[in-house]
Amino acid sequence: MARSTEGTKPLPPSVFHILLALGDDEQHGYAIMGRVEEITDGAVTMGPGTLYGSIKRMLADGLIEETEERPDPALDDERRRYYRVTALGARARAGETARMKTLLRHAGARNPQLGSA
Amino acid sequence: MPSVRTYRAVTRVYPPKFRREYGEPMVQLFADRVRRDGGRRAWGSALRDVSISAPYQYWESLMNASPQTKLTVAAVLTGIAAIAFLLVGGAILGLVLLLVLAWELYAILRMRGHRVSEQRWWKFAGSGVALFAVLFIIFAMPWPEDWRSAVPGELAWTVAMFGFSASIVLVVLGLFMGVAQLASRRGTSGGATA
Repeated sequence: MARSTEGTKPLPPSVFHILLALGDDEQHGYAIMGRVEEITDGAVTMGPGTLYGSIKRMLADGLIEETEERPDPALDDERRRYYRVTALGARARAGETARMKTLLRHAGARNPQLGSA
Repeated sequence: MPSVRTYRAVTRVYPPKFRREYGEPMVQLFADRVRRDGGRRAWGSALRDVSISAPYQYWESLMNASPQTKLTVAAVLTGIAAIAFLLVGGAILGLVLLLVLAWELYAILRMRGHRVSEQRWWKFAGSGVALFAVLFIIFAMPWPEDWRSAVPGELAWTVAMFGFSASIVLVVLGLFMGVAQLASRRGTSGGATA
């Protein structure tokens, strides 16, 4: 059963990373892993267990869904599974982004050296 | 690739349901990483990942399990902890854990729909007392020294510890059932007179 996470509690970092990595596209596990590395400047590398453990929870929570369509079946491995963000996932991502912006604003106000960075 | 075959074997440490659902994509992801980063880096990262994510998946599947399964796991862990404490000398804590174990077993029997009948409670308590008596005769009677020396001391100690623990659990489990039966009888007779 899908649980609403919108506007309630902060998302776990791995979930937020995957939502950011997916963007508005449909991507498979390896592409998500590569994109997470890219957006975190290589600081976060998700292993297969962590990635698919998070994907399992996100599917259960209704934040992402598995798609049947393949972007380019001729170029791709048929066994790959593709995922995309749901409307609920997009709202949760926007909520988390807003929460982070608020945190950064407060951090900048209290620590000017951080705010100017 | 032998490395990928080995990783496929490693995924067996995950809970079966998770492995059935995501085992193949995980292997494929690992193979992609080996191609990109080489075996050494991929393995370094994969082993860290397995050591963190596998216990987490077990924890998650336990949290989603039925109350009976949770209680069974708790009973097994309590039993292991009780025996461990008794073996290393923490007798009081070990006995407390044995009492907890008896309560857990009692709760499991109730959950499985076993009715607390008169016969059952005295059977448990009686078999516990009988086991205790047998162990007492074996370990506390002044048997000839050559008989005693025929059995290694450590083996005798371990058997005695397991045996006495089991007898305590059986007696306490029987007493829990007896008390529950008494309470239910009083409740029934109270309800009938009311």
